[in-house]
Amino acid sequence: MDRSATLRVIDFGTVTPLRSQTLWHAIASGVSAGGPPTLAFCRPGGRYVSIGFHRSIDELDPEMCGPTGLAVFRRMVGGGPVYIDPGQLFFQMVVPADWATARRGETIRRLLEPAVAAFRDVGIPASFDDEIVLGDRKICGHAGGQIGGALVAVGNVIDSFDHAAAASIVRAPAPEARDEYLRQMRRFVAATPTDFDAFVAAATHRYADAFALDPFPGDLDATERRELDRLDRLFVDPEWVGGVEGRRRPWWRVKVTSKVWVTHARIDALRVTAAFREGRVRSVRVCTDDGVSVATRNVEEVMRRFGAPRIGELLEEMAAGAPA
Amino acid sequence: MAEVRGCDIPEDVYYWPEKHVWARPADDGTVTVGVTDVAQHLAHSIISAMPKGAGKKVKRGRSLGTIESGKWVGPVTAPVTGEVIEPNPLLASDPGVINRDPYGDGWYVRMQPDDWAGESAELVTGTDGVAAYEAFLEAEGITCRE
Repeated sequence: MDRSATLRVIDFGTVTPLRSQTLWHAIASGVSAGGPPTLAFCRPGGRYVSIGFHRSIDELDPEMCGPTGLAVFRRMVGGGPVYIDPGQLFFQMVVPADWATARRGETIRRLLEPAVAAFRDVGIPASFDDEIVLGDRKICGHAGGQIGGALVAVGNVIDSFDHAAAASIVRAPAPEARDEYLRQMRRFVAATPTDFDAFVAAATHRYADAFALDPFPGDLDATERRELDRLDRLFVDPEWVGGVEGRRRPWWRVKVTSKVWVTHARIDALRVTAAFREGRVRSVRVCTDDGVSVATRNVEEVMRRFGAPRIGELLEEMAAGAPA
Repeated sequence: MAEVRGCDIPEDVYYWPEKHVWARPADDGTVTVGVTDVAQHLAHSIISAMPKGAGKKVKRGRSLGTIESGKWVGPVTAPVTGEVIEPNPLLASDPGVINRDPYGDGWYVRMQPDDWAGESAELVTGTDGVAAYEAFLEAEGITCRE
């Protein structure tokens, strides 16, 4: 069989949280070594937290995550901390690095558009707008990158989403900041219940078609299995999970979607939490340490009440900051 | 500095156009390496950069470290073989400096090359280098005006 024109398809079924990460990293090593392009699927058998390659462990709530809470695994692709549970089906497309186009954005789109088509095939009219969305709601968390000599795009199909659990994993500087994060997630992140098997079939067809490859059911080879053993050890190594020291930011910021983020900062005795969509204030809440709390969509109102120059300047600075 | 298809392509550095990296040799034999204006433009807002640490040996064509933008983590390719002698310390706190000043404060690493004289011949520089980079951008349809 000419492996260069085939698409290996592996449906791992339900796997442990650890394996739901290490399996596709092992595939990346296989593809780097000349293995066939591969489309993989898995369902995590338990709840855990996945954190992006460059992100600080300090972004996670220490009581909810880590030794006394949910397991944390650091992936080798981008994005922030995410909550994962058995209500999600994961797909990963892994192709040789020399399939990249000169434009990174175009590469990501090529790797995700077949998934968008698969969503549509199973009755979910999804589209791609920096991420996979249904209208203005994100319905698929994705990330990607080059691991060795392989390009990897990962995403999920969400059967049910526990917004409260997802908000709880993030270290928030104040209760109102976490509340706002949860509120915005409920508004802009949605589950799209569907038959996982139907999605697997549709995605297989769409990816094979998009890359002009013949799909065949496969499994890891011996080299990938050895790499899997290594990755199983690496991903629970505290040094790997701990990663790098966090970047200090002038204010706390958490992304809800590619267009929506929530920020929080303190000015003397005032705590300011704001939600932005495409750089525009969606809501702002100002709290004082003596219990006053004002939430509004009206920036003028909080500026009048709490001091226009400083709050106005802060909101402008927060809006200018790109979401992390 | 030459402007090519809206991208800044200075003549005084060496390029590997396909990898969008540059190298600038110093009198002490070290080489400063970074990503080009084209790369930072294609990446958009760079939110993280993690060069390999001092002492790491890297072969030409392999990864000197990573850069992240838009949830995508990609490598910065070594233009020559050598040892990293200094990662840019500014990148940990301000990775966006790569966007603002890719040939200056946004440099990625300093290296001690194994064979600059030999391997630099694989790179392009000067007016010929700018022309070669321009030809690549034209072939790929890339501009920095998008």
